[in-house]
Amino acid sequence: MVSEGLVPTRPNQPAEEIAFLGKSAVCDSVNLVAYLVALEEQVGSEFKVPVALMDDKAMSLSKSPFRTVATLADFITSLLQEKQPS
Amino acid sequence: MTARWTIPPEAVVLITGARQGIGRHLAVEYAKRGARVVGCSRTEPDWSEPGVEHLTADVGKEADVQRVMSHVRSRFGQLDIVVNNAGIAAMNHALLTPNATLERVLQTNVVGTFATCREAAKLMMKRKRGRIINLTTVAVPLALEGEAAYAASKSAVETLTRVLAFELGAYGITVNAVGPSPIDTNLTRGVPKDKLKKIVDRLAIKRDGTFDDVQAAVDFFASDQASFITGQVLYLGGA
Repeated sequence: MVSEGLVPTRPNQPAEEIAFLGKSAVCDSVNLVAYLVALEEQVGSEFKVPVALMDDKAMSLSKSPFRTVATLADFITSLLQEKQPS
Repeated sequence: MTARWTIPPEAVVLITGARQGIGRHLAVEYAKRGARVVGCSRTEPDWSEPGVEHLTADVGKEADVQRVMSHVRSRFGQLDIVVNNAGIAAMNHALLTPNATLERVLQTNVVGTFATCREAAKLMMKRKRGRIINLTTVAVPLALEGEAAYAASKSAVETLTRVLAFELGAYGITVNAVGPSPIDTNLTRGVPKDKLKKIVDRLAIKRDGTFDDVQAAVDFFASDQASFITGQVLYLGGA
């Protein structure tokens, strides 16, 4: 779901390595915001729980979860696990 | 070229604080023009109008704002215009204003406007078009005594308006603000007449404002023709 619609910046690049930040970023900041908003909605609708990707937790992590598709997918997984009833 | 402001046919318009006063006037007027209007307020209105749906919601509560947007999304799938009109005032000397009052004013006027802008923009950005109009007040430029909490909250709304204009411009969303002069509403009803007169005397045009004055300014910012106008604050009466 996270890599859906993203075009790799180099040939044969594994989807999970697609970067959102830095020189090899797949999109600029304007498109990154639009992408995150759309992803937030898609995750919320798919898993039937409201998810805030850009909350205080995301902003306070020492390493941004928005670096690559892989780090973002891990972050979303952790958010969803937190929301699971224990 | 005709000098007429237009909005998209069957535009979806959200008006916060629609139960009474300016919000009610705008909701009814846009519905009469064929817009599909969603209004929200903390309590149910004692009126109804074809084309206006009302939701009970407190914009100071994030979950309420999200519920309203979720309704707009599922009902209409789009949002064209938002008027952030919900607001509360605290007319008192700063020395007599407890923190609880200040927090209540900030929660509705600033946090509520911020949350509504944010959630509305998420819906608008998909179609790369949207108009957000925030309500401020002439109390800001006039630095009115006795309105420290209210004016400070609206100063925040004005700064929010300017910053959001930059942040949302790339998504085709304009953000502007209208600052009415005193109008006879519940918000001003508790203010002594002589104080209201003093405010009006400081304006370039010395008369009370009307709902139609506010409508004219909102119409302009909401219009298709105002696509290149953003981050502006328009004070009525010449403050």
